Amino acid sequence: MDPRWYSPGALRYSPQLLLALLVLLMVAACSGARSRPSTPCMSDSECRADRICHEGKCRFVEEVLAELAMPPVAPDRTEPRVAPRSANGFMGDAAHTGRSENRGPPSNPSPAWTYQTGARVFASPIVGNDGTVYVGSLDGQFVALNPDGSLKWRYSAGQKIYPSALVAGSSIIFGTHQQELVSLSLRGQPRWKLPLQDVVDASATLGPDGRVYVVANGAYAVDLLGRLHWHKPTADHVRSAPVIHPSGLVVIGTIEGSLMALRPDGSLAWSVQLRGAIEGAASVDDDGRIYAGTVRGEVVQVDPEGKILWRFKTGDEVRATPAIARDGTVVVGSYDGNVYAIDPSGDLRWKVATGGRVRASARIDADGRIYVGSQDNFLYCIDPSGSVLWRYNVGQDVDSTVEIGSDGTLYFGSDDGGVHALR
Amino acid sequence: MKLCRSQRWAAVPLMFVSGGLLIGGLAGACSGRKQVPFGLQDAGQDSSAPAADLGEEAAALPVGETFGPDQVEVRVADSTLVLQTGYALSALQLDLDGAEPIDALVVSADPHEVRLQAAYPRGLDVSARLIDSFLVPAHCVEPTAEVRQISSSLAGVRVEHSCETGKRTNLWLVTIEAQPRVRERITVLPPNGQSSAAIEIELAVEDRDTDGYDDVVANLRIGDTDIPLAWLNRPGGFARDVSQPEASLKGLADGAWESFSSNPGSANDRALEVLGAFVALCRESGAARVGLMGTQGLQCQQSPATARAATVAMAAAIRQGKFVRALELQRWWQNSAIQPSPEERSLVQAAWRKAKANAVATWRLVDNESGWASLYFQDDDSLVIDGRAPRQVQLSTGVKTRLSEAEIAPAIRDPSGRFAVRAVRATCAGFEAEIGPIRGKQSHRVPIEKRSANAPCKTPIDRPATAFEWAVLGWAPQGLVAASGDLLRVVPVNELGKPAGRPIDLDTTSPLPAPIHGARITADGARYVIPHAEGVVVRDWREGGSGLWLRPGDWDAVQGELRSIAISPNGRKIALQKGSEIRLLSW
Repeated sequence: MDPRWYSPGALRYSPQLLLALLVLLMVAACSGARSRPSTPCMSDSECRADRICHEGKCRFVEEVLAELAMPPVAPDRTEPRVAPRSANGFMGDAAHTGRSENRGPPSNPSPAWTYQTGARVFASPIVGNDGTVYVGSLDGQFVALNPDGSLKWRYSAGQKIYPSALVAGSSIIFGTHQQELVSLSLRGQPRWKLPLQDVVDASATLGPDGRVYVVANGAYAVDLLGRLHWHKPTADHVRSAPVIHPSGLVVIGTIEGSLMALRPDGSLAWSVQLRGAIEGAASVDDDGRIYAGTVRGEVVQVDPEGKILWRFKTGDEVRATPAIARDGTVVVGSYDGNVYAIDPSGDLRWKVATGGRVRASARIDADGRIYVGSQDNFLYCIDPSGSVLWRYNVGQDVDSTVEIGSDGTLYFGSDDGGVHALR
Repeated sequence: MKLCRSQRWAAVPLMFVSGGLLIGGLAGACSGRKQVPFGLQDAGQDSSAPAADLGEEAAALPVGETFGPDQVEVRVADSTLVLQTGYALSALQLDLDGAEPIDALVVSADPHEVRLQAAYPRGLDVSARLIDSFLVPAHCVEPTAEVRQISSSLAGVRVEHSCETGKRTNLWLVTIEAQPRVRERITVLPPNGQSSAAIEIELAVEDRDTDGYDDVVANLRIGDTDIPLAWLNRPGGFARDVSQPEASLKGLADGAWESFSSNPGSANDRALEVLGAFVALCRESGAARVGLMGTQGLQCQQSPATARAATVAMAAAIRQGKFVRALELQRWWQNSAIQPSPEERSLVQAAWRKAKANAVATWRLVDNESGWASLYFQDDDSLVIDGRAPRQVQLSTGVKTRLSEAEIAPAIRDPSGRFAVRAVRATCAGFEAEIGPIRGKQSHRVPIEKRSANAPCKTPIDRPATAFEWAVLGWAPQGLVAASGDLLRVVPVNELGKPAGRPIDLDTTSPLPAPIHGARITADGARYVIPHAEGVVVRDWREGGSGLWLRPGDWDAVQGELRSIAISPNGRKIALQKGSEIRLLSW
């Protein structure tokens, strides 16, 4: 390089430098375009190559992704009562602990409202940051309900909807038996649909990398614009929702009994055979240990490297996702009718007998109270020591996992197609 | 017909029902065998021989051995074929190459695939050559197979699986020669949502065209309807007789047509059989269960027999008060792209005219409009007539108020109020919704239905769809709710009114999207109105039922055709434009 570039005099007289400064100024002016009003558009083809058409405006992809991941500002300043989270989904968080920062009713609740669908509601209702309740039904409808139970809008999938919704920023994402992953705006308008190679039975999970992970015939990684990043096929259909490990691993269970950990690029980190189909999602505790139930009736603890640490045997199939209390206690129901509390070393802490199989996963409120439905038609509230505080007769099997609203309302579905709100 | 030999091959039990001379592997039985050009060896025997030995011959044709589970070794002559993958289902020992020792046709399977191989002993080893294979869906299990010689030159191989909704059958028709070839592969799929009839298939060998050579007939029994699909043995190979299934369906449809006036119940049953057979057999139905050589459904193209059967079934449905069903059947006319004959059309028209209304409907004149007007209700008492001079009519008082352009809000608009459906157009691409900003001239089109392959576009068209073709009833957050007759379809569109995924046809158990902004449907989607040349059908989506048929007594007294129609938010009033009159219908 010419040493004159480093002398002060050169700065004053070099025409090359003047040219370089001009170029720099132009670049700076162009980069400022990111903050300027965007060009109106109707399709991506109307935008420059580095931009896409989003909601009628040409925008940078990264800008749109960041915006989609952020929750919208609540129009009513009195709501919500807790700070908005960027994503709400099945079992509360990407680790599926089932813990909620909200407090449920400590004493016998009363029914606030019921919204009736035409078939079993297996999914867990999910509450958005503005209090809207989102839930799908096996009759193919996905509804957004106002906090008073009235219908805000309805999406008709034409096929069964098993999974709970993922509310990620301003997008609502769920899979259907139409073999597609659907993203809707908060108004219920389709943003995109991603065709998959199989039906979707499990909820999608938002990873820390802003990608949505979903399972069907294997695991899929999709961004919030609906672009498929990878697909890791499995030998058979997968029904367990992906759980995100703090290390970034995406953990899924297969119906052949393998617990698989995938790296964020889709490659396999490890796989361990649990000796029984894994029908429910796994969960991860605060120390990174992984828990999964099997249809052989076991709850299995696995370390972050895929080594089995212990197995806890229940009396029948475990299809629920193990919830994890703040003290590390694992709470899970079994088809033997019991709700088990297992300490982190694998010993039974207590168990509560219900009158039916327990398919639903447990949720734990801010005070440690546990809410779980049973196929004996009751919803149970159990204190952290294993005492039943109350039980509410729904009149139908409750296979849907409870969601706890910011005002303490409990939302859940039932086998008769009802979406219930108790306060 | 001159029969050389016939062998029926049923599922359970397999039966030989007719025959011919003893041939094939039976020495010298077919001494009169004709020579066929192009060296075709599977031409069969001369059928001029006497038929006295039919039963004896049929009984003598060999049937292969079937195996138990997990059999991986197959005995061929004095050697053993060891399968590299899967397990053996069945094998037939026969001479393929005309040289000692004897060879075999072997069917084997694994959970994903079924294979047909020819096995040739070579010293102590057996060499195998793959003839054909097919993939098996994951939900189909427990395969069984049988290999059977059906003529001197042909073998039939049947493979069956148990699937989620029923039995899946695969039939191979294979030549018996040194390098066996698949002449035809027939697949019968298990029942689906649109076709639930039991389908049985039997193979027979007979001389259909009396040319002295054996032809192959697959006798299909779909419900109670028999349809013989024939493959004629020609010098260039097998040629399917394309007169079927239309010939069989036509016989049935004509029978139904002739007996309709005397015995409408029986005629309806026969007509429904024709329609059921068409769905199961023909590619054009979109739900065919019978396929040839891996393709799904036979190419039936335009089927006058089906159109006639639909006519009979439609007239019967109207007589029975099943109005929604009648509209569903009317789509057969469109789908089969057959213009019904004048007689058929008048039978249906007469049935609608005579149809017993479910309720006493009255109507009254509200206004006049010489051109086409868009109608929609603002509320239960105010109707907007968006014609040459847009105006609002207060229905209780009759007061009319002129509306400015700014006051007109199109009835079918998106939830944000930015876009509206301007029209539905019929083009060579099919039916398309024309969508544009509420204020502005730009527009784009969203496909509702692609043009049927049965009705290719001969000259370019771009015309408004009539009230009886596709219509957009309303716009829900999910997209457009479109209707054609009884069929409801959601066409997903995004925030910009652009297509956002595959359209979804809703069955009556599917809830409609909501809320819906539209003229012909209530906001909750509970009730919508279907126009008809002879009246109006009101359909309650949630409650189901046969539909409400409304036809004022003086319907014909108002000249002109039905142009526009709207239903009030409470679903109790209907405004319609018939000819130049805007009328309010109530019941």
